[in-house]
Amino acid sequence: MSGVNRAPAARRAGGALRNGSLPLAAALALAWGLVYLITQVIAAPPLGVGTTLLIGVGLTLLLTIGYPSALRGPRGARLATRQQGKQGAITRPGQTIAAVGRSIPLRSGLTSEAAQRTAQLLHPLLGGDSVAITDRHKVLAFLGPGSDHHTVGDPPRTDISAKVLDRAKTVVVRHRAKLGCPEPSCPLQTAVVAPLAIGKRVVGALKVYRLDETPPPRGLVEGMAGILSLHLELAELDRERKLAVDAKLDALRAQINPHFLFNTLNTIASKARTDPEEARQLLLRLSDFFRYAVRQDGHFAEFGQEYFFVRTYLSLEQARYGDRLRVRYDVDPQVLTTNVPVLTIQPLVENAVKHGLANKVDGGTVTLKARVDPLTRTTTIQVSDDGVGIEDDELEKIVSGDVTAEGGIGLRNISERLDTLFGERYRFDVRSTAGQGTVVDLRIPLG
Amino acid sequence: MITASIIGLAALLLVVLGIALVLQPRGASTLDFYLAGRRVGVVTNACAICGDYFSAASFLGVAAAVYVSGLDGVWYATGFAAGFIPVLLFVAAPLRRFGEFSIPDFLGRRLTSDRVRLTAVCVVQLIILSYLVPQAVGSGITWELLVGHGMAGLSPYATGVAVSTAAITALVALGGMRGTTWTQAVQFLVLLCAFIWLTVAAIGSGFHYPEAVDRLNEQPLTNPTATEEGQWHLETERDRIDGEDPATFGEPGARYGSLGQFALIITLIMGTAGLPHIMNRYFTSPTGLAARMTTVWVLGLASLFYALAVLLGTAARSLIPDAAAEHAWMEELTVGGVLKVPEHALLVLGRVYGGEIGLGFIASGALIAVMSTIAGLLLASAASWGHDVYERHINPHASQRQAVWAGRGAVVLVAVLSAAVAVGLRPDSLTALLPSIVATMVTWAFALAGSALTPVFILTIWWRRTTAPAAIAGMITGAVTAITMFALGTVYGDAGLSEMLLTPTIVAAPLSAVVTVVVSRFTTTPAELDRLWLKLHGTAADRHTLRLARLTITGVTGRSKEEP
Amino acid sequence: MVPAVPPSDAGSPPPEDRDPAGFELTDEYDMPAEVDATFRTLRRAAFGYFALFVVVVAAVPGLTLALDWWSQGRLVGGMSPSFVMAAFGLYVFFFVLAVAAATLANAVEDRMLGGPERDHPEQRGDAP
Repeated sequence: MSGVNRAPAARRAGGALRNGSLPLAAALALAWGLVYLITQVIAAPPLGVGTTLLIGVGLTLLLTIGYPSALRGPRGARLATRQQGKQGAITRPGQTIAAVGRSIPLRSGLTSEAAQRTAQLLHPLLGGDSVAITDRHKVLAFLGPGSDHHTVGDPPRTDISAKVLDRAKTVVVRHRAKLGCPEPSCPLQTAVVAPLAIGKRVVGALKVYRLDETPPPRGLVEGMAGILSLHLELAELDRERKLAVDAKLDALRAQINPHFLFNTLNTIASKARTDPEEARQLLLRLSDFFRYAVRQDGHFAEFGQEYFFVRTYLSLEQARYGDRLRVRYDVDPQVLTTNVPVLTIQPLVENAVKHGLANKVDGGTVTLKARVDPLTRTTTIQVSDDGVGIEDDELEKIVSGDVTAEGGIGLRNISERLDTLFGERYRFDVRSTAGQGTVVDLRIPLG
Repeated sequence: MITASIIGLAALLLVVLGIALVLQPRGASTLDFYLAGRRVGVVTNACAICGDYFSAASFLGVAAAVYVSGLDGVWYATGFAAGFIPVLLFVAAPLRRFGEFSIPDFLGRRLTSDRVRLTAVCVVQLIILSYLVPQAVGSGITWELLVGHGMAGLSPYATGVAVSTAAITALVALGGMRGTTWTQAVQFLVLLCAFIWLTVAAIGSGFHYPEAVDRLNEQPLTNPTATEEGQWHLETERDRIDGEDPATFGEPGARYGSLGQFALIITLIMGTAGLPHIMNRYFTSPTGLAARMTTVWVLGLASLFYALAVLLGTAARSLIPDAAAEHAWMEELTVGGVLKVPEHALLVLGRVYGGEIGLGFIASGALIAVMSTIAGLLLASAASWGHDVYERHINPHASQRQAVWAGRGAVVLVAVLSAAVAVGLRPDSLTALLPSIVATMVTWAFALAGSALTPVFILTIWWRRTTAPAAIAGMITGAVTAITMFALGTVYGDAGLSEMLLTPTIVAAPLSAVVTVVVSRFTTTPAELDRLWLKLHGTAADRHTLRLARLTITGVTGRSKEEP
Repeated sequence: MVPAVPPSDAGSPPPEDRDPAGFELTDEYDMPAEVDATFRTLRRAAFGYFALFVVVVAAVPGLTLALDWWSQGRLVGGMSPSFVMAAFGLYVFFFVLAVAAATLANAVEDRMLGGPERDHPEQRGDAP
């Protein structure tokens, strides 16, 4: 599914993710220069040192705190980001669109609780005395007179509900009789019932009742029902997307390369005679490797854990390739506690080993470099190798996922997951020069 | 002279040793060791390191330096405390993880070279000697004030030096004072108690710290000077930063010029990481991580201790003029309300507040400080002779007994040497040249350690390319530069550029580092560098130790640690 | 007296001392590349902290030469800013720096070496 697959993500420009340290330094230098000029040179008796320092420090603080915000675009977008951070990442794309009417609490779908809160929210707006929300089978919320017998959880009692659910059209009821409530003491006289639909599928109804002869304004109810439908549709989309990411993650787990397993087991078997201690350690590492891959159930993990996974993987590969595979990690301490998409770095490293170094006679070095830019709040992860490199058309195939059949884990899987997790707010570069190696560059928002 | 104080001193010493022996954890099984090695152990070990570290220089010398020269003396306190920051950042954890027993052993194993080990032994012995001398001087000064008369025809000062050195040497050599973690920790607590008592007493008698500093700033700083006829008179200190103005207590310049300030601080900062008796303590930590956390604690405790020392030095400066007018016994110690020997500052305060008992308390504190440091130094010296030289080079097939005797011989030799030097340096004759002589003399040891050992030490730990010839060249360069500059300094005095000569680390350490790096470029690193590196910076052994400890605890208590 | 051993309590078992019976206890080990990475990360952090430390310590006497206010000004009760720094401020700074550096180093070693020991959290780090 997912109509959101973008083109494979080689060289995507990420507008918001610039490196901002240099301009900030320049701005700070300029500010201090100005402070000095004004307080010490221009002012007739120069200001006291304390005051000058105070002004300077104040300006510095202002710039340092304000600058990253300026870099990250307008305020609205930032708010959205913060909220996503809190909720855990998966509902992100839906949220950005849904920001239009974010107060409607239907984002998790048409549940009873959400319907209750929606009804409370809409009750004063719709010009009716009672408001009800139903799905196809039961009343989810009923607010106002008549709630004594139109109880939540029962099937809709009025005939009119069935009609609306069937025909997907708004119905206006002007007489009590046509309302079809079996309860004789029911105070409700008139009503407007509008369908809630996801696409063409009717999933429920919004009903507004009045106690007098005049029915509630039809246009208003219909419009609100339209907005609610839109929210429901977005919620559905979110859910599907989540399923899709889950599915991709499952696919990734299932894809742990059987060749890798067999090769490692072979290595261990051959070491069992020459160096039983090392064989035992390798076996431990192998079980660590699988335990990690299987146990991850979230979409994000601490970088430190992913790093452990990469280390485990590479130590197994090193046992197999021996001196031909050299490894260099370059990790900033700040990166260790940041959250990164789970099972993302190891596939990149595996690609570097498989496509870059496996075919090179004298081997080479795989480098994993991880940095945090606190100013732009970005985590940068770079996996590079000095292996054989990839030809341009081959590169195109790899990123588009065509070569996954050979056993590699396509970059496509990763870039699709990143798409769903971050929308436009990430950057994923693959650069390769035949004969010189490949560099994969990943920049994601600091989480 | 003062019977009560001597009795008090003897009683206190007995009590300290008694407490130490009674409370000492018995039957130090592996389990005890690990249980203690986790939380209690870190603090205890930190206290023990403090006990080793706080010598006469810290206990009497820092307060004396503050007393004599105000803010410039405060740099001693700052520098002594700050010295643990490089230890924490660069040395503590890797040193423990590498797991050798002494600095020469560490360097020798890390660079797989016996020559490096021997060179380091020489440097270490020099450092120990230059550290021992001021301790002996400190005990001589204390004896002079406390007992006041000599024995067997020696001067009181020489008697103090001889008696304390002999006593400690005997204790160390006979194995009675093995410098266990526990005794050292108790000794530190006694020192801290002494400081806290004095502080409380001073504040109780109306001492207000900031106001006292302010008042002291109003008049120029004066110190007594002896003329050739033995007549004492007060002389105003010249501000060495601003030129001819008189110096004041709360502003820098009474002692050091602008360059000297930096030179002193750098010397003290770099020195601690090269002090053998302190570094040897790190091997008692169960893991590298514990060694690191121990250093954090040491830093906290040292900060508290030195902040109090500075406060007490200020208190002495502001309170003694009034006290001198009240107490007749102070007459021969002071000139116009200022002490002739600044090291007496705390002792006098003790007597003012606590009478004879108070004096005894502070004096025993000073002796404890001296004893624990001397014991640590002598043990470090013995270990480096017995272990690094005798067992490895002179007699590789030595029995345990022979090695012990070699160590004992070394202890006696080193102790006698230091006592002789201490007696040769009459502090009275030197105070005019070097006020607060104990603190000043300790900086020589720091200068030597910081110039010759610390740069090489840090490079071998944090730079893979360091080679054995480079380390030898670096150590020799550092030591020779430091000693040469120091010799020049005593000839040319301490004004202007040459004030840097007396605290030479600021020049010698970079020089030593540069020589090490340059020579490393042209020589080859030891084989199996990767294996050494795993041991030096890997935490596998740490994790293994922790896991063993955890399993042992689980096994013994029958439940896992998580269930309280 | 035994000069061959350090002045210590009962000795810690040397790390390489392996019990042949408790063979399964020895499965802690490090890979050279991992140790090298940790080492470089720690070195960067340590030298960063050291630079900060030197700058702050040198600033106390340094400011005396540059700013009159530093040694002439009076803060609470009559101490000059430089005296306040030397008598209290620097010690507080040292301690904060030490705690920060030790915490960082412990965290780095914990995450960059060995496996995640989820069964035994809180076992590492004896924070003061």
